[in-house]
Amino acid sequence: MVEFSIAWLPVYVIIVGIIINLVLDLWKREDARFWVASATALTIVATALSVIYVKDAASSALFNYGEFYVFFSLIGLLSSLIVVFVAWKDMSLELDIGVFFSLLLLANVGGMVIAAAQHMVALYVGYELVSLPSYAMAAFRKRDKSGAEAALKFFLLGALSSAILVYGLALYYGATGTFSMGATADPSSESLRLVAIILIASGSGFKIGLVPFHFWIGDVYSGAPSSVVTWLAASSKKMAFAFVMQLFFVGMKGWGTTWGGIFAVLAILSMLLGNIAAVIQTNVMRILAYSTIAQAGYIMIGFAVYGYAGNATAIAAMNGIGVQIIAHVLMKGAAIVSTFVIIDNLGSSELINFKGLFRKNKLVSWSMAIALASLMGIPPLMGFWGKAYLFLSSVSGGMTYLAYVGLVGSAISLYYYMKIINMMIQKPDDEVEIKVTTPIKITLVIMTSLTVLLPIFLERILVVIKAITEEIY
Amino acid sequence: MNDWALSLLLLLPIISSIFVYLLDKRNLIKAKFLATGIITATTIFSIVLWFTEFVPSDRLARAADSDGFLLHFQADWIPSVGITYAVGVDGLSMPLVVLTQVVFLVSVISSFYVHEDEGAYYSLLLVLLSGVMGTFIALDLFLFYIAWELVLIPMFFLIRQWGGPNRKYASIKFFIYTHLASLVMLIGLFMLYLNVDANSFYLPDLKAGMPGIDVKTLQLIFWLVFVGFVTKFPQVPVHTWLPDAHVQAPSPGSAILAGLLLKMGGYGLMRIGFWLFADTGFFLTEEGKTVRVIIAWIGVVSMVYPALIALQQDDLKKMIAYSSISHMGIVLLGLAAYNPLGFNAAMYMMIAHGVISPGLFLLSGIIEHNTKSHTRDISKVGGLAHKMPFTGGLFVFLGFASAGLPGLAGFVAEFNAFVAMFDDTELLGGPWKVIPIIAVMSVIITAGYYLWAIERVIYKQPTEELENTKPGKWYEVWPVFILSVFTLVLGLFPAIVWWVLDEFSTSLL
Repeated sequence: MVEFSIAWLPVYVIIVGIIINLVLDLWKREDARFWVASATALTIVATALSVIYVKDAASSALFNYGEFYVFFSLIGLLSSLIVVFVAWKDMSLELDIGVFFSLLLLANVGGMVIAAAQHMVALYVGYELVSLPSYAMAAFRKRDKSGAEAALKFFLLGALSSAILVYGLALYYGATGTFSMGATADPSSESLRLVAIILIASGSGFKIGLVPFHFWIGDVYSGAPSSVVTWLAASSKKMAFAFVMQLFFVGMKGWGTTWGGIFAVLAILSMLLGNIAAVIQTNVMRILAYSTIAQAGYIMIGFAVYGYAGNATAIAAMNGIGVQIIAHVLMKGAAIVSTFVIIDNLGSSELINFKGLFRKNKLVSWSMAIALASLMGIPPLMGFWGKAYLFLSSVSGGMTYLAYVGLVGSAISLYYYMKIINMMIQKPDDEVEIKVTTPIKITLVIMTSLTVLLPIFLERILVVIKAITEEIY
Repeated sequence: MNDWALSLLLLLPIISSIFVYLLDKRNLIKAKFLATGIITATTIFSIVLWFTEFVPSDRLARAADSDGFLLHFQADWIPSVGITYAVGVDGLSMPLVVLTQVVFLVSVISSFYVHEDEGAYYSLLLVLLSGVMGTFIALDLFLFYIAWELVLIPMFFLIRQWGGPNRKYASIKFFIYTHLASLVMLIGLFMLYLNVDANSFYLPDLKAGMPGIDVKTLQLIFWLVFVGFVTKFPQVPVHTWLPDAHVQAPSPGSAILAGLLLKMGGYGLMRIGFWLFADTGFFLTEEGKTVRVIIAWIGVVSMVYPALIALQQDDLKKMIAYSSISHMGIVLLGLAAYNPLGFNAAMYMMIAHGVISPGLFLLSGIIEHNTKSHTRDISKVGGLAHKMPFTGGLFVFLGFASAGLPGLAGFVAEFNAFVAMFDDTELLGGPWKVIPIIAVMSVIITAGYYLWAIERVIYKQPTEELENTKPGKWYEVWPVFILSVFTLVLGLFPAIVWWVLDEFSTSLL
């Protein structure tokens, strides 16, 4: 017997959207591209509106629908919009494109489940609901060998991490006697708790791309189709952060000093390794992949401070995490979309293909440049504010060493980001035109403007984040 | 008018840079004329502000109304973390504001020789102007940091696109080096904010809250921000970015680098290192005295060591670059003396060097553009006085000014810095007397390399590099002449600026 709850409205909207997608795909076949993409975009917008509508609906044992739910659902949905616009062009040669968009929508359901979860099992179900469509999307180009290899790597490592995660959850049950989140642990279960934390951190660290669980990122980002990379970097990763936040901030509330310390170590490793590995790369997509690892490291500073220093610094840490997540969607999204344009026109994202981009296509090169400047942390772009709040929180939490490592990493990152910008401002070797489709043009313009203009409205964002922190702390 | 005057000076250049670029792209208005027009307007405006706001004798009373700053404006930006948009000027920053405008005006006119990508060049210059302006007038630490970092990007591109043969290396070295130092400074600023516990990045609020912090934390904060500022100065041992950046940058770019970006470091140190710490009594404690002695040593080493390197340079621009590091050492010495005379001398040195060294860099640019193979090598160029008498004369004038000839701006600063050090009988004039003694002696080295360079470059017989040289163009020579006039006036009548500085210094102690 299925209980109807108004809170499930967003899911129903998505289900309707999926059905429409599949029908359109079968009806229009080769011409389905425009219809399916538009239908998906409309579905996403409708879902976003319904998420806002169902906010503060009655919570059940498994789900609650507060600030956290709305914030992360919206981030997941709106970043999926970017994926829609990229896939419009990227997947245009595939049949069954409706299936791709349906998988995307399904993954968003998973994201919403993660954001709403109040129970470990519900959380895990949401996590799997995000992962499985991702594996399928990564393998979507059936004839692409490197894509298939990337997808297989992704799937195998993902399945392994998932298994480790479940083991950790089982130990959590052993330590607390329940699957509800935030349960108090049995006082004698010290070592059980520690092992549970380590296993859960390892399992969930995979999705975020923390060192040493990062090995899939370089290969998957450069092998999979660009729309999937956009999905992974801009959207799925944010759902992963929400997942980790649910697991640790809400789920293992009282054990903060333990997992805070672990995250501090992982953060340092990620910031250093991510930045250093990116220096020697010659493929821009790989550079962006490693920079994602480094960015995950920066966000982990916030996690470490929240757990370890807790209390007074909780809001400061969340400020950093929240602003950096928003900034990351915008800047990584813009960077990957710009790289996609190059791949689409010139075949690969090797650095040499970016030569002379400033003269060939102003829009793409400016978007890329601003996205990279934001990633470097140049004020007053969004990326700077994220890093500034994260470093501020680490100093205020007494973990200044995290900020020191962060700034060393930032300094290293300047080199490889500038390498790309340098290549773009040189004179081009040839006259090959770089064509951009309209949906991508619109996407780039919106993302770049937001990167530049959102800092003016930072206060509004901080108010929202404060409400979220008060809800979950 | 008071409220928006500084915001206008700050935001007009960066907003107009977009228009300068676009109008030039569409060949409607040449970028060089539009940019020169805008900068002329802001220069005149800033001089008008100087006379209307600073000269009247009621300035202290008016400043007391607005937290000690004139032309004060403050608006909420991000209240939850205490960030506001706050601008204002006082005795320390106003002379630097006028200096910024003058140096930029001079540089933009000297840039007329640039013919490649003019639109981009002038718009980058305007963005740079906003950045430099922002650091001097910002009263909120976040706004200060944003302006501080904003300076790096246009400078990077100016060096990279229009610079010399080794520009790729120089530009990225400059960028990464100074950015890393700025990040260290940012950590120091965060520590400051968190220890004052007033949830505000607004400078007067922070100054009021400083006395409560314990000495060890103050010391850590000071060293952290010091790292950032001393890299910008720059001083030994973090000075190695400067020779590359200065030499490879186009000469107007070098002029701005030497004339203004270095002063950003000095201003930052005075504002955050000394002005903020003023009520804490930090520099009278044991730790504070150690800090002062260490600063003095850094200053004197930075005076002597680069001067010796300058002595053996063949590239004229590199020689002037090293002499810049040497002069900035005097600023640190004046600060280390920690008395009103020392502060005045430090500030005056910033102003004096800010007019002298852009002039010298622009002159080296003139030499470079007018020799046959575009060389600046002292060994290859000679007898400039025969071909370009006026330019040669200016070079002699500014060279002597840089060496500290009495009657010119550099002497006022150097002499007072030395007297201030000897006056400080407790530290520098007492057990550490060796420091001022070495400093005074090192002036000989400065005079040495300038005289030697002048003899070889200006006098002697013209070499074949100068075969077809004609007297310099108006847009290259007259800006240097304007700077020389400033040098002379500031040298003969230091009182014009001195009382503003003195007021500020005495309020600090």
